[in-house]
Amino acid sequence: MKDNGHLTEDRIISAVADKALLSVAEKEHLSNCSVCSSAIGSFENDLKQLGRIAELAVPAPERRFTAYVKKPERNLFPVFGLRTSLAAAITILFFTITLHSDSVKYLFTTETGSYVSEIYSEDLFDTEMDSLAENDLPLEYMDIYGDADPDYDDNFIDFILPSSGNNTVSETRNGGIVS
Amino acid sequence: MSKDPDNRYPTPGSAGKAFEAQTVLLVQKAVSGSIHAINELADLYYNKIFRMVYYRTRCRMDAEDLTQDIFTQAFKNINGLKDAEKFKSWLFSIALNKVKDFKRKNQFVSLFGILPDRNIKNDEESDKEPDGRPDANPLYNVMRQNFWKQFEDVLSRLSNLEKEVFLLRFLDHLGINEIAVALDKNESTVKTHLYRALKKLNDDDSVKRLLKESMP
Repeated sequence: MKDNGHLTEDRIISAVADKALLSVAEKEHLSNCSVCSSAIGSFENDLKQLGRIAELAVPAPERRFTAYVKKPERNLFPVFGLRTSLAAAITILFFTITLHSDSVKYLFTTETGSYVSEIYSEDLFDTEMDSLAENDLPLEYMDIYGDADPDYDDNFIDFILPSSGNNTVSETRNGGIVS
Repeated sequence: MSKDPDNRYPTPGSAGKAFEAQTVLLVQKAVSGSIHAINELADLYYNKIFRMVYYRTRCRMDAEDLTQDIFTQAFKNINGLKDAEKFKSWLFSIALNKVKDFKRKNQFVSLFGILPDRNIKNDEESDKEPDGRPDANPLYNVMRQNFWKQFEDVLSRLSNLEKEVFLLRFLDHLGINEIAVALDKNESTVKTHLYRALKKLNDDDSVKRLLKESMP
């Protein structure tokens, strides 16, 4: 309050902001004081006038808002929903196309299988040919031939077939009589 | 016929209360899926929201687009509104967020120089756009342009929150509690910022000067 009992300018502004901000004494003074009431009224009128001019300075809108009723869509996929159904359809389509494409067919056809087995048998044949080139005797004759294990030396042969007299195994093998 | 069909200056009298009661009834019907109620609510609040957006964007076309978006979003989510009595504050909070997003997007675009400054463009556009009012004429458009320029000067003295509280209170005619809900602040914060805004405007007599220059 001022010395003369009227509301200060700050209190008048507070009253314009919200009259509830005034104390009981200030409210009581306001109800009896035309000076303070008109000061508040004047400021409030200015603000109302500002609001009205601002409103007049707004152009009229050309559109209106209209809510529309969204028609219920026919549900083509009632069980799984649209997304799941779409994903499933794409997956099925993908596999159908993939399985029927030429490249995939080629992988799984019997022609390819025979081709692979042919290569395998050729490998086996080559291995067999190599072993024959090294030694053309069949395996069961290798023991008789005696060269199956080249580590056998004369001492080993003497141990198996002891020599008699001066006949050595080598001589025996060269036509000597073993007794 | 009422002198204030938009209920721009709601009073605690019977007209204001009837408007509020009508809103509550329509909101309840809209929540239960009544398209008629939604359209009626839109009719009641369209101009308020359009003006609110225009005060902040100063471009009719942007204001119209945003208003459409605001109502679309509001009615899409109307089931989320718990208290039908707070419809107005709730609608304004949606509008405030939309405007904020719009301004942020424009600032971002202007920052990289993709588009010219929207405010300058909007001012120029608003002069050219056909008004649609019977009293629309070149003089009126010049006056309108001057008013918004001066109004911008007046508001430039205020902080963002002070500006928002001031606009909501004296241009959008919301009550303190409605502003508090719309801004998601408590009432004492709103009052403090409103007081500060009024003090600044009163100290430099800017409102009086603006009114003097704007009055024909």
